[in-house]
Amino acid sequence: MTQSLKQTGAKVITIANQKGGVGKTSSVIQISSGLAKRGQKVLAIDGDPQGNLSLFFGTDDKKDICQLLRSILAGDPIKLADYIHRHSRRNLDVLPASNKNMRMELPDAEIMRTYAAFARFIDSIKPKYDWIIIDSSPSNSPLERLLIRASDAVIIPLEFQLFSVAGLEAIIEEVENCTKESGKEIKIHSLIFTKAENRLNRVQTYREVFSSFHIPIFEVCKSEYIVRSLEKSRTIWECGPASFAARDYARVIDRAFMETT
Amino acid sequence: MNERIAKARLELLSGTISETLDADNEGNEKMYEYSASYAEPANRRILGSWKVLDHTVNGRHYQEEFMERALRGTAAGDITYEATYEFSRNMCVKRVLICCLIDAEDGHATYEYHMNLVLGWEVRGKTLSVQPITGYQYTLIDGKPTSVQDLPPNPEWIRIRANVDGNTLVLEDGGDVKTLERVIQ
Repeated sequence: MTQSLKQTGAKVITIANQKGGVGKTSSVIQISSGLAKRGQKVLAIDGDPQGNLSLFFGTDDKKDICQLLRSILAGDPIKLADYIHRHSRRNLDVLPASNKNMRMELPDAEIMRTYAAFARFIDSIKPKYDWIIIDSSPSNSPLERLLIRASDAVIIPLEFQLFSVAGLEAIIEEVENCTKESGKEIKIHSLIFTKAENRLNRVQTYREVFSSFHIPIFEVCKSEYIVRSLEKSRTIWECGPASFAARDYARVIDRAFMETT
Repeated sequence: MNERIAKARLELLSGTISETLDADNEGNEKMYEYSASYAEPANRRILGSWKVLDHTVNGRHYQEEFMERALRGTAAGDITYEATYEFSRNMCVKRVLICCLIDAEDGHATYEYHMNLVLGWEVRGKTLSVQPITGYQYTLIDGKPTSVQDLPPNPEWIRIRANVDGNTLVLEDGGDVKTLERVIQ
């Protein structure tokens, strides 16, 4: 039987794929705000130095994840309130990423030194939230490993494209490596095919191939509401709650996250 | 790249992925959730023209029941019954034609009953709601009109159980059961 994340006890979920443009940030926005709308206490972590999640929620004034990692490295005491932008939406807090030069300022070797401490930090804030949803950048570097190693499970968004499926193979390997290295089981819980367009023959082929997988797979349709949502910094629940895309994300939330029976 | 090669490449790639994921998710059911935009709305499944193949009222053929009611036993035979429903956006045109021979002073005469009715309609789940908007019915005997009647609008929606299975539509309104077949044009 396929269990929801709630049933497995997973709480920290990274949305990851090394391929860019597959809808990682968009999925984090809609899923975390959708969970918050259901009364769940949610922390969304922007783990992508591009800072698009932070831009969406308007959280520039806070210390960001780069400074958090520096403090962890320095062994400084961490005052959570300095980093977390509270109530970006009701029940939704955000830990931003606002330093676009993070990769240069925080070398890989230093990030690698924070793996265990960052995972401990995430564990320490777990009791404050029902869910911690992490956005990651489209690359394969210690920063993404840091985020995955701190997670209980990974959800992979992808497109109906061969390159995207190739990216899926790479992220699966990455999650396996993180599991081995950290000694903690990190599961790939589900896949989300984003930008689904029914009129394309290619999409039908992918559906045939992927429908035999023993892992929850969801589709979110291509939608102008998603584009509008991102441009206006309004979640899909605010700008198109009855849209097909909103219904698709609602299903991801209900079935992958919340289902209890 | 042709589609066959593309599919072969996808299957090859996804085969490896599937093996890895399936090993990690042993015992999981297959669960592929299509986008809500793909789920064909019930309305769309009913759109188009349908022809009544079979129509019974409490187990009796409708045309027999109709003749008994309308002609009080004067029907002589050769009864034909044709009914069609044309579902277009928000509107449905129902057409009924019943023909038969009836007893007349100089032998037999042809009797025709025609009904044309415009209905509003919508489908929610397995319920088809229809609302008569306008229509008329008339009868002919040997081709000459004998009665014409307007069918008034009905403010009430009539709820009918509707089951679509491919090109077959079954409408049930209590003991009134119609089996329709899609008219492929």
